[in-house]
Amino acid sequence: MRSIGRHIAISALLATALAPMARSAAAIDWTGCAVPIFGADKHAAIAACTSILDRSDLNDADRVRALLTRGRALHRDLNIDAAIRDFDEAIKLAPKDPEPLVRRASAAFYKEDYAAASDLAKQALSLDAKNSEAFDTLGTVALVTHDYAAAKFDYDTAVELDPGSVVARFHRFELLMNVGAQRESMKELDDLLALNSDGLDKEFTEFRGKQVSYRTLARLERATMFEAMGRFEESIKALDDLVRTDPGAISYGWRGWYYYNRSRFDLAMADIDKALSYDPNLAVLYNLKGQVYLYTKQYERAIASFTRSLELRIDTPGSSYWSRALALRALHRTDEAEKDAQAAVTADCCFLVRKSKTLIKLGYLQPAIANSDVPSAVHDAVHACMLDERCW
Amino acid sequence: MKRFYPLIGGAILTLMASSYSMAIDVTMRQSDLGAGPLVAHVTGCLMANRSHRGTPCPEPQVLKAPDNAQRVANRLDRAWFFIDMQDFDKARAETELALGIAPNDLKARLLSARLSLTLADLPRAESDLALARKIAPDDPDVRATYAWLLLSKPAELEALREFEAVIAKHPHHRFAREQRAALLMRLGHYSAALEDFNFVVDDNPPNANSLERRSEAFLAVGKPQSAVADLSAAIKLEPSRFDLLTARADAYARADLGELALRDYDAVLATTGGSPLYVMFDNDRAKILAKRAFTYVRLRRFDNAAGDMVTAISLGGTPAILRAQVMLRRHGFSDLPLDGHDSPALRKALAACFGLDACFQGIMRAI
Repeated sequence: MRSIGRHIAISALLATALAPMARSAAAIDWTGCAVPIFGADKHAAIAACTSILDRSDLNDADRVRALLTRGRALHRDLNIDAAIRDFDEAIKLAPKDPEPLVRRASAAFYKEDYAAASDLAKQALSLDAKNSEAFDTLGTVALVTHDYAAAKFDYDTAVELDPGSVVARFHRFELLMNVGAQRESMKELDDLLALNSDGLDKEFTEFRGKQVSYRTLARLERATMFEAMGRFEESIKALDDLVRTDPGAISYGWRGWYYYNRSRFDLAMADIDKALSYDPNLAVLYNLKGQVYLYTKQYERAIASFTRSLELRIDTPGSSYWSRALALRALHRTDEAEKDAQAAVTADCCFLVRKSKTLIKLGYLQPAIANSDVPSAVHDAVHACMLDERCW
Repeated sequence: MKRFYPLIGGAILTLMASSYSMAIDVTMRQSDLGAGPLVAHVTGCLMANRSHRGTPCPEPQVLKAPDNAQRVANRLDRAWFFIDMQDFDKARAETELALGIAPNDLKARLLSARLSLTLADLPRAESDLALARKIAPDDPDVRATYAWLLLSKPAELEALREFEAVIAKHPHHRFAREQRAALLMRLGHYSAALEDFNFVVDDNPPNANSLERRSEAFLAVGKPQSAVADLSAAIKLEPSRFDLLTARADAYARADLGELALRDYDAVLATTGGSPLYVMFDNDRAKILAKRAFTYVRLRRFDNAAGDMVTAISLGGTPAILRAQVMLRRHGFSDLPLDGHDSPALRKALAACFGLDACFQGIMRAI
């Protein structure tokens, strides 16, 4: 009995000792922990990666993989701080791997820390001189800091290293558009759309408060570019095509915008309403709808639409505030108009930059001079504008 | 011989038509640059035909030429006659008849497009130009007209490319040069614009408009004395244009030649028997008064300046008052109400402002 008992005890000890080994030997299921493509559930990916990272038997390589994947899912879910934590941990675990550095650079860019983004991308390139994404990040930093020559070089290199890179090509299109090279940017879009790459449909980006695939965005930009070039027939044809093959809030909304620009307000309103049926919470559509009401002198409706766009936190609140102010002024609700107009320039600095041209032209605002009280000058200029019916 | 007569007849008709065209070109189409909207000028023929004084210009007869090309040319001549008479409906009808004979005639199609541009019928202009571009994609007049259409859309960058393409192949194309220069001015590329204006002025007979436009480029690049020279030459060509006088006054002021500036401003603002010598909108008169006031200040004649400014504000209405109030508030008069209403307090502040150089500079920029 004693020998049997000892045997059981030894067996129990062995079983206990071998248990972790048995667990670590179990294969990791990576199925759910994948970088979310367009339309995929980002939270599910994050949860799947988290469950892998919770394991105590991960080796460093698997941990880095899970961290990078979760970080990218978090980034795509716009939880940038959490993504940065994952990328930083991955960098510590794999200091010789360029990928964590590239991902971290991208996150730094998103946080508008351009110096850090540039440094990290350069570190990645010191480990892998042919890293296309690092060049793409450097190009994007150069683009936003208006160093267009550097941006061109970086994007050209990124595309040369990875001709199938949808993102780098799209960024190069943005560069060309920024410098006014419309024909070249159109060609870039055509080349991009001609790519036989699933990245066009899997990769996506944030656009006016909505995530869109690069294919949709490229087609939309193409139509918009035609319009900017005065090629209206091709523009509306491109928009019609987009509506037919990719019906949704963006395609209908932007065709509505086109009609609005051409003062075809009935068609514009029909498309905007259709767009809202796809996404009733897309703020920019309410702003657009408000503009149609404003130009057709339906001021109460305009006010309601602008209010809704502001409630939904439109990315360009200045436009909605200002346009609501104009509608309120038309209804002689002067105090409310004044309040909205002031809100437009304080809530949205980009709007102030745009509107300042009008204010300067009308003589209500002088170009900024040293030691001047700019906020007070802007306040007076906006106030004067609201008292002048010609000032829009 | 049977075959020969029609040929001779056709040749005579062609000769007649072409000699008539030459006459028309010399007498009435001097200002047309062949592209863009038609510029309706008051011509000797128009005056003669409307006033029934002098020898009127006869309407070209409809020719029953055997050849389509001759009939088209005849219809286009008639169209041009009506353009010069500023009867665009008849000009349109003649152009339609020409296109009815030969839909792919480039001259007829281009004239149709230009008529549409002149009458602000942009869709028709666009469709005509689309056809014209198919017929002759590299024709400089077609391309330049298309570029002008792009400007109206507005598609400035694409328009610039089109003008550049025309100039690259046809450096002497005046319309393309002038339009590119104007566009470059709008885009803030003053030196490049000046190069185009130099080319236009040197490459063509003296023209007041070209000189006036070049003077703007001279001012933009900080050469007011060159601007004065151009404007003086323009005034010699067209002495009755007060816009040229005003522009020269501005240029004198920019060149620190205050007394000469005052002389021109005085001429522009002069009255005869209590009525202005030159008819203009109140807002324009207010602007000129404000400019003269600025010149007075630089010459330390503050009373004259204050008088002009008060008059300018009265003429300029609410926007002018708002601008003055904004600027006074910014320059030491922060208690002044900002309400767009004229008041004794405003006038008092304005008068006081003239003693303070910084304040006055601000006011002048505003008004």
